Amino acid sequence: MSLLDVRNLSLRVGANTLLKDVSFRVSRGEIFGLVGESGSGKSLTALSIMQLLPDGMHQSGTIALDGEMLSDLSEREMCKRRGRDVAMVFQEPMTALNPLHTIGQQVAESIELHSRVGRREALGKAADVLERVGLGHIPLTRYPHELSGGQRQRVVIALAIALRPKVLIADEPTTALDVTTQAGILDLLSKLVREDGMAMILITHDLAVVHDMADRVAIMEKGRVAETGVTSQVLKAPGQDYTRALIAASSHAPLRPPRDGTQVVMQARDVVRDYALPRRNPFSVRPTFRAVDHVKFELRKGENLGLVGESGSGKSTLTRALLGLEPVQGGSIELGGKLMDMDAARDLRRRIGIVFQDPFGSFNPRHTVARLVAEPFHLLDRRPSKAEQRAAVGEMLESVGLNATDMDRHIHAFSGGQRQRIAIARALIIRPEIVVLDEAVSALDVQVRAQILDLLAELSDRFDVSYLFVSHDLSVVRAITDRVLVMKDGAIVEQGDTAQVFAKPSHAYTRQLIDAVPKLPI
Amino acid sequence: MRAPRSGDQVLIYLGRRFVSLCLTLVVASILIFGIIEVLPGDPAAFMLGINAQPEAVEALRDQLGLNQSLIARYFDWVGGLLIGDFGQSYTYRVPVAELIGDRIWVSLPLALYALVLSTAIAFPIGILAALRRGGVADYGVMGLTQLGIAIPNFWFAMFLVLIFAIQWRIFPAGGFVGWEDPVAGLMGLTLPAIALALPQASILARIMRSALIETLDEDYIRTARAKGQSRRGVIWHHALRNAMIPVLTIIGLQFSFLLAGAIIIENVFYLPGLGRLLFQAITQRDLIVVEGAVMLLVFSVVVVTFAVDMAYALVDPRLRR
Repeated sequence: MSLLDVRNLSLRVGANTLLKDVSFRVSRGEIFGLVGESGSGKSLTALSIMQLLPDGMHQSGTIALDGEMLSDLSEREMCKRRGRDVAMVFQEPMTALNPLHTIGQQVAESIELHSRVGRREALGKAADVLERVGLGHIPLTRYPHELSGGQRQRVVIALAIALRPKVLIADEPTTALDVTTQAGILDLLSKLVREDGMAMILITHDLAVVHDMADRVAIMEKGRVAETGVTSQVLKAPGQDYTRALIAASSHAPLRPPRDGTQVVMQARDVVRDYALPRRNPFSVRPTFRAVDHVKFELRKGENLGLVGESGSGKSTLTRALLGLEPVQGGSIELGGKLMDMDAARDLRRRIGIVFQDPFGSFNPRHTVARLVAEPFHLLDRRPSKAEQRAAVGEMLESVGLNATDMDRHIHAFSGGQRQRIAIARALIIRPEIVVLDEAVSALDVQVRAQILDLLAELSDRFDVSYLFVSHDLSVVRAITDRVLVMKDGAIVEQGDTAQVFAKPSHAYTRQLIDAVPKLPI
Repeated sequence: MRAPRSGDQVLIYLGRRFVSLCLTLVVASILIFGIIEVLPGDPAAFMLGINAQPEAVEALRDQLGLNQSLIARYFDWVGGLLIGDFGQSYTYRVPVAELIGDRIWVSLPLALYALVLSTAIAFPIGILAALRRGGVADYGVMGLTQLGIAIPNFWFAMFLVLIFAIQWRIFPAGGFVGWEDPVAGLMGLTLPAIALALPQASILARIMRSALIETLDEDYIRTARAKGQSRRGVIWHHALRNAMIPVLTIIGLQFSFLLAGAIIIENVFYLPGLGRLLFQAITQRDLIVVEGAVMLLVFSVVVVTFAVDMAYALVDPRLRR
């Protein structure tokens, strides 16, 4: 008999149907993957099982755990099941823990809520659980802000598994983490499933993670289950077009002729960036932290250069310095032979454009698209007339696959992928030689990401622009760049042709990064 | 880099706050002294009336020390403040410290009383509104607090007098009998404290509500619910303490306001408080009383701010670094 049985689960808000007839079963000791793009209903399915849906949602269908109907329980009864029988790990480890409580208290709370034990005993058990998730070396009295993202996620896992629940739901548990950290967390989760014999629902948008982890998988599309089956079979021989499209998009690499230009458009020579840290006491010398350590590289005309590294590696600091937004303490950055720094003039700044990660936060919501895209015109010596600007914006919007008529709308009318197209239009409007793409596709669903990558490849040919592609996502960098820089602790530890670096990494860290990335069988 | 022990961090945090507290006081004393000195109006001439002889005025200026240099007078004044000597009032010819000392025993208890009342009203209704967000209770609280903010406190004062002093005769309509009889003293301060507290409670309740609603949307609240905490449990164990930072800030600001801003209420209830003393001193050009009283208010504001900073550090471990 299956442990968890979800049947015909539907969710409505008013006249909107969010989930429709979702059915699946999970057995003891099984890892069940729930895959889909954003908005497909994966997280709502999880919250339905937890009975933690936002107010105003109407749920129908049944959810049975070990023969007991969770969907019929009162809130009071459900409180007794949550954490004890069914527990959940959330996506965002940075905010999932209460910042004012120690990690010991937070794990102990799970135990105290469901058993009659004193504080001291609960803390003793919490220490055992933290040991199990690999945090035995961290004192219970630490606060969340004193831990790294990976460590925090281990605490979140600890408080979820403290009572050895029958079912653990992990909602995108590694999406916010670096690849090497992700590998550690995924290992931990499968070890816990094996040891405790619990069932796990692993929610993710990443097919490769599911391939590595899940025994069976359900592919969700627009609130329904499109396909379900044994993972290897579904991925090898998908029965649905939607699944096929997802798999194709996950490993999509745009077709583009290799570039080997010789003209250098940007050159970094021994760039150093030190941050001053607070003094230990009023009389000590101010300590510094070296975020960028003697970095040198060059970017050639028309080339796609990748910059990969984990969070804290210094790639964001380096990027800001390249844009002339951050002072450097050593070395120099040159654009076409001229020095780029904090005081750089407009004629230098207009040679370089930028696309940021967040398609929602990087636009002023009160401005029309026309005004947003036309913003870089102020960098030109002669600002074009209003009519010229509108004509240029219209043309650019068509180039990025939108309509010229979109320019009079506001940004909230567009999807994440469309916003990123608008951001690209804004970066390219004054025809810079270089565009910096800072995690520009990381927040996008796989199918949208594939389209944006194709667009970028096409535009780089058309406008003869060089890209600096900054990302923690190795598969994307592999798909679109000619050369790659690998950054660790502020220094470039390896650089070379992308294909070569991925095939034969020479630095141990690069090898470690590449090995940590889950792969789809092709 | 290894972090220093957390106890050291608390000391460093508080030490920094303390240094900034002292600097604030120094700057404030210079400003208060400077501004009052450049104001037109010679207290000696004012005290002796329009028909005074110039020689008499000059003699009085000498006697009051007004003919010394500005810097010498500043240091005289500050040096006096440090040992509790605020100087002599120009009009009453008694030590300023004595004048202020009498009044502070009305103003300070009144401010504390009003603050306790305001917190006692604001917390429950703010929490209720946040819990019943969008419901009848929420709309009720929001409507009432809107009224509470809009209606000036002296109107409440007159209304309270009408009901509780004239109609039902529970509390006195005005005046203050002193602390020899603590119950009578407290009774005398009750209506003014309520009148002061109502608008403050309205503001505080709204801050409480919005801070709590924001906190309840945080991810860690969902984590706590997934552990098995009930809706009520997450409020007590997780949300309230996190919502306290903005609430504490407002409480600190309100205390300072209540101490000095009660002047209208003091007048309505005929209370011998600091506000009235200050008002009378200004109209009579009793500059030395004004300086002393204002300096004392600044001191209390700075001390309260320091106390609020300490409370932050108690509430939020992230500030202890």
